[in-house]
Amino acid sequence: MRTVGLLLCLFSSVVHAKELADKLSVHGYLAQGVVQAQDSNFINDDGDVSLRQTEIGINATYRLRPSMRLTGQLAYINGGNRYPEGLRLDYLFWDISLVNTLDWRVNLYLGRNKNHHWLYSVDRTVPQIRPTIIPPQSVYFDVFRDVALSSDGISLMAQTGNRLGDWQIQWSLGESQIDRQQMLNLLSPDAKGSLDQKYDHQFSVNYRPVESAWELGVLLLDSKFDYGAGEGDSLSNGDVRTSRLQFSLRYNAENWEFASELMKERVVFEDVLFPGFSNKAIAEGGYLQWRYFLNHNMTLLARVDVFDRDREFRNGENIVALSEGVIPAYFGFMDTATLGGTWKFASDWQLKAEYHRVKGTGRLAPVLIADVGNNDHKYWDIWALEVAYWF
Amino acid sequence: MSILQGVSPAKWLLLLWVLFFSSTGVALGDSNVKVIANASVDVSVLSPSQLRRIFSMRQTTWPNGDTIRVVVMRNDNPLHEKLCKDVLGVFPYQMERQWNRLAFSGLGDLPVVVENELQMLEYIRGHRGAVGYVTQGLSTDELATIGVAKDTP
Repeated sequence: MRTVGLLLCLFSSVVHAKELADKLSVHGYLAQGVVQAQDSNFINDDGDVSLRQTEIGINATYRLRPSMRLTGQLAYINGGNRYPEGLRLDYLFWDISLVNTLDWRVNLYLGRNKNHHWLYSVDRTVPQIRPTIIPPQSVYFDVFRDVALSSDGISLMAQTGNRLGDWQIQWSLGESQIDRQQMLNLLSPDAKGSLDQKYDHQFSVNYRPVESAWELGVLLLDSKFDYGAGEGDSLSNGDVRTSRLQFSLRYNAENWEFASELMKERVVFEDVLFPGFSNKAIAEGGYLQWRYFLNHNMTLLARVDVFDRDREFRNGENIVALSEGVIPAYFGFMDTATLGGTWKFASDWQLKAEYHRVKGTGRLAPVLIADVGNNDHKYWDIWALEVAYWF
Repeated sequence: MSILQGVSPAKWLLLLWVLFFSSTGVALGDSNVKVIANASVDVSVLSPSQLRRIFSMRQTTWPNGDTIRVVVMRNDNPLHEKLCKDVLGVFPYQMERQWNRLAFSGLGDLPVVVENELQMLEYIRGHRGAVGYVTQGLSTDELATIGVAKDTP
């Protein structure tokens, strides 16, 4: 009798294990790089060769039923001065299927949702699919990575195909948590208060015409941050509002690919720097990127990325005037030329190598109070190598 | 100074407009690829757009509620290339990118990868809701064949 009972338990365990295996999927990646950004504080303050290019992620998805899934990803990253080192919850949300037919799919996402609006907003954190180790900073400002990557809230995505082509329409509303280190990176190392994102509101449409090599996208973004000054703070209470209009396009050919995103972003500071401070600027930027596929395993890349902090003062002359000559003009822009390559030397392994030549320091941390001491070169460069494994 | 100076938005838009209408993508053609599915699948015809959503893992259930299990071969397999180009109208690297985007953002999963047609047939035969492809003319008894409609519905 005991034997029968044990056999039944074993059988039940096997069935449950099979059911679990059927409903649960786990993936992950490990990437380790070596990087150097001379004459800037992009990675570290001394510009030496660094191993601070580490990314480890593991994600799991559990399908409760065909119309409902729970999914999440934990990641450890070390990117030097760009973002706080450590473990973070990249995303954790319920995926609820509202409409699921052969022609339409509409999903509701609740929780910490990953940003799917931009061309590479998902890819930037996935070593094996992102085009370069270091993304184009005009659009994918690394100091803003954690804020832009995901937000806590709600998102709706609709996908369909018709005689015109394939469509993806997405709306999201949420807020990102900003910890102390991120705040120091964004504002100033001397900030003593707290920075909160009040909301991040995005709407995007992505379209692929039928039998076309083109993919097109448009994004609208509106976001607000509040700063609460701390005791003895050099900064004051205030807020920052950003509104972005962004276009994306990608052309997919058999042996090469062209991608581009162009953005215009209105940034308004009220107080923060000091009571009564008010600054409105329209930043512009974007990149043009070509990838050539030598074969299934090797890819070459060339990219030009430009960013102007204020379209009215593309040479940064306003920064010199505002700071009374303390901050050089090259903090007003950042233009980068990149050459790189990827070699997938095994089915789950790859090696990336790239070189960036940079003019300007407009996309370095901290954003509000520039680090003039460690960024005293108008021209500087970055090189990076990275090995990645995924499963 | 930025290269954005001196180029008006109108010129950029005109350039994009010319490029947009002067280029074509992958032309769907007659193919010797046959799309097959487990006998549980009660769909007999699909459009290229519907098949693209299925094989790119964006469509996850059949009309009968069964989970869609996508089975593919490796990127460098000629039959997989034919499926992508002749049936789906995309290139293999586009499909792979889409799979990885979904799997590493929580919105989907990776397809099952097999090495050859024998493994393809075996997997589809044994898994409810499975869909894949083989060469036209290959015997696919006990499996459903999905025709590819010429026009998008």
